[in-house]
Amino acid sequence: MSRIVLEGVSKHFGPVVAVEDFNLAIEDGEFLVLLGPSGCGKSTALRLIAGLEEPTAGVITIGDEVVNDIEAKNRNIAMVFQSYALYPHRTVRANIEFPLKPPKIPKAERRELVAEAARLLGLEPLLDRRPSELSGGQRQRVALGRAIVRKPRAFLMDEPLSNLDAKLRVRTRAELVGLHSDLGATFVYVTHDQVEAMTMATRIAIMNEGLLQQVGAAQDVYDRPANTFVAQFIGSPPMNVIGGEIRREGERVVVQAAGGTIALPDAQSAAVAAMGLDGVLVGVRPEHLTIGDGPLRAKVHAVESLGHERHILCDLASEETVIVRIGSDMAAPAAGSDVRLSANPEHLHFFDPGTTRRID
Amino acid sequence: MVSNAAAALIASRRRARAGLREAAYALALLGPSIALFATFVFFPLGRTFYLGFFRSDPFGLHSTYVGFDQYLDLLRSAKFHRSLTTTGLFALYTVPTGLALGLGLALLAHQKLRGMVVFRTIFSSTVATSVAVASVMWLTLLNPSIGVINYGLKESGIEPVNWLNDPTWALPAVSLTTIWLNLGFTFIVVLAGLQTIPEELHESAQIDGAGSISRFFNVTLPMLSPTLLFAVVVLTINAFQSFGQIDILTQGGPLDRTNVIVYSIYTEGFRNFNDGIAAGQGVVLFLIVLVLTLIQFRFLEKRVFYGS
Repeated sequence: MSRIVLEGVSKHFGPVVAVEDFNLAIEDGEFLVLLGPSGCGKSTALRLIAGLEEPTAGVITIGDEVVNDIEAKNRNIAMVFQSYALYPHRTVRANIEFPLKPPKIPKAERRELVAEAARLLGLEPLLDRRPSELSGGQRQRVALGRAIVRKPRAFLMDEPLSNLDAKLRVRTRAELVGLHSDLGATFVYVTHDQVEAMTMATRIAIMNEGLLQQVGAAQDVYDRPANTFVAQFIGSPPMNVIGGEIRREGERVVVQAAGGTIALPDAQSAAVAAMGLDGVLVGVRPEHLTIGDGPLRAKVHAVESLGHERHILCDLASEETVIVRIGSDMAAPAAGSDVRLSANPEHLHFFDPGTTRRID
Repeated sequence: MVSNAAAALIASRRRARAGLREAAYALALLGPSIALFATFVFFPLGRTFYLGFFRSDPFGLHSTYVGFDQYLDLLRSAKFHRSLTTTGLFALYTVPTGLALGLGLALLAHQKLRGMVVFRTIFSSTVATSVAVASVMWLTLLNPSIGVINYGLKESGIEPVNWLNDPTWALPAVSLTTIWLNLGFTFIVVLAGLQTIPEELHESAQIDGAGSISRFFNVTLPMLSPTLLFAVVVLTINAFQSFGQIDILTQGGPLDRTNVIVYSIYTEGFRNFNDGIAAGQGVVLFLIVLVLTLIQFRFLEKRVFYGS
């Protein structure tokens, strides 16, 4: 069993709070991605699991064992670093063999394990080379080989793809997913790249400013972001969020935003009433806005063409800017023209302007 | 055909002229440093070789050409052999110990602890201490009657030693001074080397199950090898060229026990006015240092890792 549990874990560096009250249970065999902008504490969280940092508070459990007082070298986990951290003076073979301690594991067995890892990663022809003679992608594989060779309880990866070029990154992404399913092991993977997170993760844990924002499957996080940070961090271009005022029209609660009026669904009406809010943030994804007839008046500010799609940047009457995503096969309005925007009410998200939390 | 050949000839001449221009330009740029080296290194070096072929009379006045005889005499001379042995011992006493101490201090000062800057400053301070100052300081410390070292020995019930006048202890005492004097340099070089080792290599080794001793031998030492090679070469050359501390502490004595080559050159050249012998010894010293350096680079380089 290699379930990893963090309970109330905090890490402070002097006055700097890197991770605060972090609670997360990573299931056995899961591919969990820690996602967030740089400086959000995701790497620190990973290093806490690895044992490279000691928590200021909280309990970390790997398997059935509380590991707070267990040194990194005794945790039986593997880590792949962004820089790969290969030993430059050792050959590929010696690098992969390094975690296999000579007295415990006999030579024949070590050789067998290295060969197995090399076979799995296609490293056999490179075994006698040194890291300086390898390409970035090959080095990355050697780092993976060194990680898998001793069959650890869990794999920790700190932005392992960020030093690869875009094409290789796409291929390696798929290979990592394959490796995960072959090994059936627990992967904890840190990245700031939402595409990596969305494509590889069983679940994504999104962090910001040391705090865990939301944990869930990629699609769930995309469809139901827990707050405006997640809403705008996941998705490219990010979700449009505009301010609105709450009005009560008899029994109904409506939101007036940027010159348009939206009737709040029943559940949200009740929640807004219970919270006594007089304002709300309305979120809508760029692909859920349509140009044509609609209640929102806007002026096209710019049109960005990405080849497969277009982003229409529109200024609203409220001086807020929203982005509309349309297919490249659709006619784009000219910059400077006036348009009307609409969105299907079921695609709207509502957030509390005070806490930025989602209103359900 | 003819015009083709002519064209080729013109082209090749043009290339040659361009090459010549480039060489002249390179020479102009190198000129100042060549002039400096020629004046202060190459000319004295050549002159030393040349002087080695002449024998001076007892007053250092008339020189007679003797060819290689003087070099041969020198190589057969027991006194010169003793001087060579002394120099070798001096290097043996100072280089490994100095390197080990410098490495140890650098490892200690590499820890990320509050106030480490103070220790780093202290450990590197000897680099800013002149040979003369250090020697006078150690002269006092080693003084048989008022020195702190003998006081310490007496207090702990050990027979005091007449450090600089005892033939057994003079060379170790001079070596001690030299080790102390070189420590700042070794410390700074090794600490700088330690700081270039990526932290992630240590962390990776740690996660792969390596304890601190294993990390030292598997990460620190191999990654530090170019720095250590550099330090060994410089310290060895320093040892073979030491003069100031010997002049101040022992003047080559007692019983020639600290009469290293450079001191012997000085005595022959400037006390005995025997330029020829001094020059001959200088040439031998030059060759020894040259060979040692070549050996060190050739053999140690195989075990040295120079990064990607």
